[in-house]
Amino acid sequence: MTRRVFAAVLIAVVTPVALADDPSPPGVFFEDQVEGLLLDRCVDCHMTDAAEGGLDLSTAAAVLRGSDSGSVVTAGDPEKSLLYEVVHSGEMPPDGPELDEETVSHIEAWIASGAKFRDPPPTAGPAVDGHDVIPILLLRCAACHGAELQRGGLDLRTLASLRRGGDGGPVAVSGASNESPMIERVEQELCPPQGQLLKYFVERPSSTEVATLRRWIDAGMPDAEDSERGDRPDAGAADADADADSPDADSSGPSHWAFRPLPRDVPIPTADANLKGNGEGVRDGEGVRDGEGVRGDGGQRDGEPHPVDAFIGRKLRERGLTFSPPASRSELIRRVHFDLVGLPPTADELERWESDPGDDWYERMVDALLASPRYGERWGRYWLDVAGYADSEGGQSADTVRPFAWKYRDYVVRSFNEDKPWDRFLHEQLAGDELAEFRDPDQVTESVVDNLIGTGFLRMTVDETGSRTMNFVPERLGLISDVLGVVSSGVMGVTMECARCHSHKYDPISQSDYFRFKAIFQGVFDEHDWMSWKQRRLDVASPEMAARRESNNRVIESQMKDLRSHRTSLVRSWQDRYYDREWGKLDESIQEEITVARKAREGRRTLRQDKLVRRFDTEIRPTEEVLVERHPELGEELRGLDGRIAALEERLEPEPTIRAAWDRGRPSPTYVLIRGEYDRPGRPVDPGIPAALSAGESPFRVEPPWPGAESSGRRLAFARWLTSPDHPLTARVLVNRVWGDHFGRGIVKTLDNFGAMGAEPTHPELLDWLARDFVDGGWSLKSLHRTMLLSRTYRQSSVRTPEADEVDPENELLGRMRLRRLDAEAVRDSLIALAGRLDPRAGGPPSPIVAREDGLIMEQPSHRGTYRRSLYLQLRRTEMPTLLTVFDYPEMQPNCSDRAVSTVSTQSLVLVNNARVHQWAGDFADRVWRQIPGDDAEGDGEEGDGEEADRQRLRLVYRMAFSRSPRPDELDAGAESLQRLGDLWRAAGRDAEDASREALVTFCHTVLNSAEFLYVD
Amino acid sequence: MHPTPTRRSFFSSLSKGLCGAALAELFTRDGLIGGGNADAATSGRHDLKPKPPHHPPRATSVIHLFMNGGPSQMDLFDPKPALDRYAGKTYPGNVEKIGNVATTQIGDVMPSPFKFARHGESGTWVSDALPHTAEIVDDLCFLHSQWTDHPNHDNALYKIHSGRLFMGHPSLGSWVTYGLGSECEDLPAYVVLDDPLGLPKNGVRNWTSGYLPPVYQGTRFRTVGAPVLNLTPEYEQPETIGSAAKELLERLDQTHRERRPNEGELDARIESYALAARMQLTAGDVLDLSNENRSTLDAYGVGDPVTDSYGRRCLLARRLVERGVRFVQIFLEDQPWDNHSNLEGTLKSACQRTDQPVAALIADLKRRGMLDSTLVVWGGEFGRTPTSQKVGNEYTGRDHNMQAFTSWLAGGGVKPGFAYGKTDELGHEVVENPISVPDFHATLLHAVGLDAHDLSFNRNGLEDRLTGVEKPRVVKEIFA
Repeated sequence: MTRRVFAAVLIAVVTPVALADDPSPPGVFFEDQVEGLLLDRCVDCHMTDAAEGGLDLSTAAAVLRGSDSGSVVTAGDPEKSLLYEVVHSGEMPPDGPELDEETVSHIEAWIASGAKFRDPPPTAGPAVDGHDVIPILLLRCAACHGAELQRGGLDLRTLASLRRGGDGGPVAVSGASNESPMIERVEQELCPPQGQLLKYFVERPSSTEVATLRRWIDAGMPDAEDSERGDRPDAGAADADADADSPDADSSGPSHWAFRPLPRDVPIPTADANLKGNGEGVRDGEGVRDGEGVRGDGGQRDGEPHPVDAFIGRKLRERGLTFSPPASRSELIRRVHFDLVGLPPTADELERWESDPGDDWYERMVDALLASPRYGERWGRYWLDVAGYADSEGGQSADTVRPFAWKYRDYVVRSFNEDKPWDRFLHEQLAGDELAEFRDPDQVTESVVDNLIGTGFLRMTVDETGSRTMNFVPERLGLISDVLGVVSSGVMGVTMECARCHSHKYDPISQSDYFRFKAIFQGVFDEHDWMSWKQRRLDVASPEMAARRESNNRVIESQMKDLRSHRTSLVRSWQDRYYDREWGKLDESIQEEITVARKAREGRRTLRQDKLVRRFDTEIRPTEEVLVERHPELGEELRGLDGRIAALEERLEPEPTIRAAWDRGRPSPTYVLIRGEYDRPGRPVDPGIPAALSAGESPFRVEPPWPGAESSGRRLAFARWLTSPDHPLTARVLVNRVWGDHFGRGIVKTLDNFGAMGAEPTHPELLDWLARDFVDGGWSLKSLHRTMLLSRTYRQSSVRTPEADEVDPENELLGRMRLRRLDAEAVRDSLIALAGRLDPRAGGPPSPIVAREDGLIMEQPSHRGTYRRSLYLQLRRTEMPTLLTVFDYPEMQPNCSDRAVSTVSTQSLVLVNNARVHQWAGDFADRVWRQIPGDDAEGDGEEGDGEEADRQRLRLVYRMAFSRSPRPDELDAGAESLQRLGDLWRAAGRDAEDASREALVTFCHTVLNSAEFLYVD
Repeated sequence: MHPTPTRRSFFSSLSKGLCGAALAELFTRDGLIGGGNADAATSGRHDLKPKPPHHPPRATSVIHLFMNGGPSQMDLFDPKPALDRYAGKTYPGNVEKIGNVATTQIGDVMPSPFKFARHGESGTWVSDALPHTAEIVDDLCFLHSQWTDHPNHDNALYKIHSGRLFMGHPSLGSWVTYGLGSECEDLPAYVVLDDPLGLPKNGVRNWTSGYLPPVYQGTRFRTVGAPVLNLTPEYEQPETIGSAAKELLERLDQTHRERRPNEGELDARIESYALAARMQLTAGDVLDLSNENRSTLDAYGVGDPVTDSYGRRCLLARRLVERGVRFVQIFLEDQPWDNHSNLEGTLKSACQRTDQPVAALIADLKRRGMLDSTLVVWGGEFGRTPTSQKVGNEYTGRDHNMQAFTSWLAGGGVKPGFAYGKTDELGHEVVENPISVPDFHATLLHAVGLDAHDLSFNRNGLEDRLTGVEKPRVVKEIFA
């Protein structure tokens, strides 16, 4: 509001019309009659010390500033001026006599004639330079006079282009803001044009901003002090003021452990008798073969303990503890299966590994699982949490579905399965567009496409900027902040979010660091040159890919078309058969009535018409639904056709659209935003990395990715810096995540925070050793898994002992493994796997979900009656599958670094009562029944046979659901339960065979509800 | 849709899967649920069985209306005429102590855009931002002198919920349920009604059980659609089968549990099944707001788009407490009280969403005679500064202020129409009767019959407490 005062007053000053048409009568200047009046009658209340309503009328400048509720003087328009209004109406002054008419008319005249001053109050502040002006121009003008549009031939992104002016000549006259057309247009509200504010998501400049523009012009349009763009060296050192409050600002090297470079060499503790072959680790030869040379062992020495065990063992010894005995073979089989592929071993797999006679069965099992395509589905999912994967844009209202996000999901799964080196994986996700040219179709290959899909990592956060109202600069900055948060906490383990508004309290991250970090991404996410999610997509494919898609889809689409028309005519032929027979039987009058009724709109029909239409739709020309119900054979035929159509649809190659992030080669300069507020620009900054992290040997250096590249190369420089071999954070953070996922808790408990507020590592040397081994071994994730999984530490039993609990109740020292509940995906996927309904299809568009009226959300089965793994369901933020959310599938806001594990009754309710879960239990029972069919029910009536069949079934149920054989007492109790359940079902009216089957369903359903199914030792 | 059984319909129709089993559960409270805190320490078992309080309680239930973001005390409850006097001037005290940012960014003293007046017989000051709350001030007890240790949301939220600045510590609700167990066998002891618009800052960690066994964590009820999904079986199954299945499950879980000593997690699992079974009996009834009459719904603002969501949750809170739920917490999404800019507009909007439902809740509890036994707590994680930030003429909000903030309590034996503690003339610092967060927690625990020192948990060989090492002060002066 207040901004208008200045604007309006100044308009009056520069509007020649007002002055020419209405030559000022004497006494229209503030000083002549208004000032004295105000001092006389108003300042008792409206004075600096006790300004009523925030209004100070004691000086000219204060009058212009207005009150809390805005301006009180609108130059040229007394009717719109609060000052005039309150005296005119007699509301003011509240005490003493009203002002006489003449006095009021002075005020009116003063305002009407432009509210002028003989001695205009200074609007001046400190000296201005170009950096005060550029952010204003970017914020308010660049939408029409910038990269995308140059209305009137004018580009206002730089001072040089401003000075050049537009088609109509210069827009600013140095030293004379009053004569500068741009000021005039802004003040007259011609620019930005009223009708286009919402179209271009621009708001008018504030009066302060206009005043700044004026001062800059009046001051002779000085240059920006530094160069506008980033050829300064890394600005880290140049921001002493902002960094002063950061703990590590003294640059004596990082004091915090995680900011020190990863050491070159991490000595492994020497073995001692406690660790070397005291038999504890190799009990009954169950594959616990410490010391065997396995790749991923990080140069393990013969006869020496596994390096992981050397570190863990040393700490245990220091506290007077030892490793727990090894887990049993079946426990290990179950543990590693869930851990690596997220599914229980099948009965066959269990059998195979249990009976494998080789000494190296365990290593081979680990290798087999790492080679399984299911591995990428399991471990890719962890990374999707970090990225904040979702199939919708999110936001308060629409939560529009993201049609192509799944390509990024598949890319992640693929990358894990291929064991893509982690450094390469990060390069693609952070700067895939800068790895190879994609703009030239001739250079596009599948790997170029993959690079671009990888950049989807930067596009996973909530994006509301496709909305009509949520695409202003603050919303864009919110999105950018989320992206920076995901990158910094997810990849670097550093929380930068706080530094958006102020220098970090604890970590050496200054506000300039934050904005330097932001500048790295400015070429992609430029709040002044924005693309909403609707525009931010690329159609890129290699010529071969395009040709393949074209030929493949042409054939399939034509087959689909044929099948669809066949389907339509099939239904129609049945309908015609009815119609031909029935229609003629009706009286002509009825026929006519029906014809009329059918034309009437639903809801507008009379009761009789309704009845007639219903009759027509059921008896005379039945609808498809009616026909299907009446003629099962037609239903079957249609289902067959639908299945064929769906099967064809699955084979369609998707459109080449990629939800990518790419540099458009024209980043706006980046300014620190004071307190993170979009309209409070501070100093300009260049792209750079946090000063506290710049101690390593690999500097952050921005270069064009290739000669003549359109891209700035900023993100590529960042990605390369991140993956330098001694980077303090990247490898540590990653190996810690992997450790956390294998062991249930990270060496640093706070997976996404390695800063001062994060937890201390329980085993810092182990962390460094793992990270060093990982980097030196070529950033191979699969090797890392093996290093961890082949350790004795991993192969321990999870059973607690009072002695160890006494010393280490939270198992920080890892004297045992941890009992863990299955996560959301593993619960659901296991249910489906046991039901034999797991759809093996990998990748592709997500499976649709359906929301029931009460809010329950489940997926639709495929045309084959199968269900896909949980990561392939449509994960729409506002409609997450219930089964996943109750088991702690996280809300991605914007991502999730570490899932919570809750134990609440809503989980029990869904497993006990949900129809789908019950149906899967039935399918599970059917599979068991098919393998061990029948019993004595129709036979000779001997109890024994039936019980033997029951026992065999029980054995299978236990092996499938719990990955172990039942103990004898469990078999006895289970057989008794089955018999009892059978009796109860018989008592409920089922025949013998049916009762036995139902008993098995009930048993299986109960097993799926049991703790043993939900937990892994 | 599946009709939810009432107790009566349950007895008349025993064909509801687990319900039959639930009956058995109700009548035979066997070894599944047993042992108080003392036993728990040795057996590693934890449960929700009612436990004796340390001293006679004033209240048996708590409703925590959590106002995330840091509501501004000087715009709601703690009028500061001096703000007008100093308006537009530099803060007269030590500027260094203001806010949570570098001192160069502190603006001038900012008067409240709201008008204060005295209300009720107690003549309590409330601003016109809260017209409904103004009508119930005679039932409220204001704490004007709270302070906390951190000016950032994350840490201050952890502090106010768990007594520590960092994550991983049990929340107040978890401590209360740990200390007292539950008097309600068929609903969770600790229910969280979060905002359907989204989670508050810090998300589900606000109601974590931390290092306490997970049986004490808050259970979220959905606040759109059915509050609890899958409350009844969606398939046909004779009741006899349901009971047999329940017994079988108990046996399987017991066998599993016995071979894994000291796993509190497994106890929680078992308990969650037992509770699920019991919830089937009554939860449907409790959660169905259509049992309320129109005037009650109107009073809470149900149906009005502005107040509907919060009103429903307040009403649900009353119904839950009525059934004996120990601790109910209501959250708002993100941080609506974090009024850094446009305070007039954003604070007003937060008020409009909550004011009427909150006042209706107090009035309703009182009318039903429940206010004596229910402690209602209204407040956020910190307060706000008397200053704004000066940027041209634009700056219109207040910064975080950890040095003073106001909460209020109602019911649970606190003095109605009472105000405790004072802040300085600008409302920036406490000058009389300061209440630290541990003091606040100790006071709330005191109201429900728990002693902050005696309520401890052995962790890593150390006794850990909600209120930390130093002995907190129970603000006894506020109790009637």
